[in-house]
Amino acid sequence: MNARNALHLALLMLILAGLITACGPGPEPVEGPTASTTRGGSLIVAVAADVDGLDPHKTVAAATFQITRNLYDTLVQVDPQSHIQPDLATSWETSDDGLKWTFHLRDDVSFHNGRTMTASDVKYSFERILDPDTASPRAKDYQIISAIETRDDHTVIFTLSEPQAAFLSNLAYGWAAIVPQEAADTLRDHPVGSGPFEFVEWVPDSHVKLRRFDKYFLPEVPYLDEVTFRVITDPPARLISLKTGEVDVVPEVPAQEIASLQEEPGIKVIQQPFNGIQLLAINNTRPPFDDLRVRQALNHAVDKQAVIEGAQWGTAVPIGSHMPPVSNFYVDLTDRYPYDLNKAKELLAEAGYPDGFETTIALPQPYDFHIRNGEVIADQLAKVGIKAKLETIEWATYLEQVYFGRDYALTTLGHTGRLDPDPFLNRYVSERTEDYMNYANPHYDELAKEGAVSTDPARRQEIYAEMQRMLADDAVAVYLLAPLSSVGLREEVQGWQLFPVDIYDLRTVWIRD
Amino acid sequence: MRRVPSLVLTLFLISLVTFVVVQVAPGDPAQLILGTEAPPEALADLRAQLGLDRPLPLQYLSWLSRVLRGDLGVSLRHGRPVAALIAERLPVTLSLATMSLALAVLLALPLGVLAAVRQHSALDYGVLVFAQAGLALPSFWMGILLILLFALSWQWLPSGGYVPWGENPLDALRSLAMPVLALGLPVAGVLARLVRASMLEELSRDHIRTARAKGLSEPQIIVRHVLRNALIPTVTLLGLQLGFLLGGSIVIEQVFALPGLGRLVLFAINNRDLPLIQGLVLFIAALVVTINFLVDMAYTWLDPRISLENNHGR
Repeated sequence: MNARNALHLALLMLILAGLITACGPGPEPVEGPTASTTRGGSLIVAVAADVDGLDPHKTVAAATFQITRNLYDTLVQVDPQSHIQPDLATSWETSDDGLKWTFHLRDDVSFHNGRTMTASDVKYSFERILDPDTASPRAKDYQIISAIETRDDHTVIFTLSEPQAAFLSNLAYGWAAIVPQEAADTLRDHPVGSGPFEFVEWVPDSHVKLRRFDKYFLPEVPYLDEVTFRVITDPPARLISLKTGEVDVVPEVPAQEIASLQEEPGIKVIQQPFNGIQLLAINNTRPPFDDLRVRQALNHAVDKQAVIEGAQWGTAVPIGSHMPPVSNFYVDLTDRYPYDLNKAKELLAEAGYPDGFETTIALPQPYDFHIRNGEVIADQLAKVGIKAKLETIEWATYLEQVYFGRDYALTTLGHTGRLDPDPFLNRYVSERTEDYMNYANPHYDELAKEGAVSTDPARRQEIYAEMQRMLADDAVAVYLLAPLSSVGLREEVQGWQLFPVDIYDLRTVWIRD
Repeated sequence: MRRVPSLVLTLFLISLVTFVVVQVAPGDPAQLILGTEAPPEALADLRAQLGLDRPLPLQYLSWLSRVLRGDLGVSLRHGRPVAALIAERLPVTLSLATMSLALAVLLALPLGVLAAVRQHSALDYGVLVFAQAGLALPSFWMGILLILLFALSWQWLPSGGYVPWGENPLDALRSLAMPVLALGLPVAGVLARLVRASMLEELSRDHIRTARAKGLSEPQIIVRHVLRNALIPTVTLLGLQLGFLLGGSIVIEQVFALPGLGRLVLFAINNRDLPLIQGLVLFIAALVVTINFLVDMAYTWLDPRISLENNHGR
């Protein structure tokens, strides 16, 4: 089987896999393209925020990466089941010590400017990310690359300064896009990649328009001729434009709107577990939360199912630790702290607070779902005597004061999962700036260090299971729920897929006549 | 023209207050650009690159000296000149504001005059109810209501988005129709009430009675004697309402997905994009100050007894 066939097979498997998972929770399965798949047509997607430029190496904005998957390619890509698949690289191998990674590239990839992509473009792209002048916010993810060589036009070799388990999956994110050097200075406003669609225009705060790239290396995709991402920041306006048919897809439907959308004729909603979690974070060093019994009492006092019903309209699943069920490393710890008000009161009394205490929950504006989580929780905590005052804080202020300043008692927040458990779980390592819950556990730190460099998959499973258990045992937070992503589409839109990373991949999307 | 120095002083004070307020408010632009996972060294580098590590008075003075040379600086997030960003968005907001104002005047003048002339009639009470409703209904709510009616139920108008005038004037009008209604109707309500009240006051004056005694026809009296005087407070209010319209456009542009100045203001504040905030506030303040100045000029036309040059204490 040659490389092209292998890739076609991979794409087919990806589509089939999309079919299978779509049969999970959710009212309507994702249909994959079939023999009746039609080419052509244009699609309008309503997005909540404008892009922060279209240079993939110079932003952290989710709004940018949602779109840039269609403009740029990466060495490898992730499928809806979180498995790494070939993209620009057809195959790869690693040395025994895990330090040398050799990637074999496709020879039929053309940039939108017509030039053929070669190994030197890969070398250039990573050198650009690592160049301090680029000021790439993601540079630190690739700092362990000590050398990049090109053996020939289609072979590139990365040498790492130490083994890194997450290295391969780090190459699948939108910020690891391969770009042509000659266009690098203007990528922000005139992106040039090798992706399935090429750039037409970006009218800030209005829309981004792309058209089919006819020389895309997979000739049968994309199906669409044109795609427009229209910026509609107001949530009700976004849904109305879907109902009126002015847009075809609303990728992020707020939980409270799903029921009304499902009743709308001509519209369907697809749902899939989201790679992310929401929690009630606890400042582990601020009294009375420095007492394990108080944190455990909080865990017993919060009725997660009621939070899911009351704050998320039932569109989420409960969790027991810092990991969503979609992860291949997930351990089910939901029974660790059953909802039990007597147990919570007992623990509070043991800790010296038989009548409870007063505290504050910081709520990040404008994230209404976190605010609602906090409101429901405050009400629940009142039942065990904990009077929680709610304080809504605007996001920029929240980041400075709560997240980085760690000046809070309790707060509701969410964390988007990564492809590898290391970048997701290492936020609890005591010296990290992201450890905003002030968790400090030397054993956890050691495990995190071992997991990051281990190349033994079985050992890594053990390590991350152990780390999840430690977080639950130490009641570092009240781990609430993993939300479902809900996409609203016009009925004729087919083949839309949901991914464990925040991208809208339009290669498989087509419009039924 | 003696008022020019005081206008410049006003703008200077506004820019100083904006600068201080943004500095006092928490939130780090570098953090917002690089995200929550950024290492401290990268943040420090970026702050230095953006000039945010310099002493505050120095930052303000260097901004001020550039503004005096006509340079509003470069947006931290857009990486483009603030003046260019404003120039791009201005047509949207200006269309929205002037059309809303025009709608308000076209509705308010006849309604106010008719209500005054037919005081205590059903029409009069109708106008009062309309005015009260205009005052009470928030424009964003009105916007959503309009969308539900015109876009969703009847499908006459697009629910949002903007079509530039140069591209298709009819579509431009259609895209602005609902935002203009949502923004203009409340202003029309306020204006109609004022026109009515000023008309009633004028109608009760002695010279009107004299005019009637002289046998002038009622329309002549209304137009030549009453309306002209009644317009003075109306014009004042109109000037003040422009500030309301610019403020309201922040919300309305959000509801109707219009890429105007209001969206830019919100973006700048959420991202702590200091040069953009400063530039926008200065620009909008200059706009409002200029309009108010023009309103003052309009008085002299409406009533030659008012002189701007000799009567500062007015």
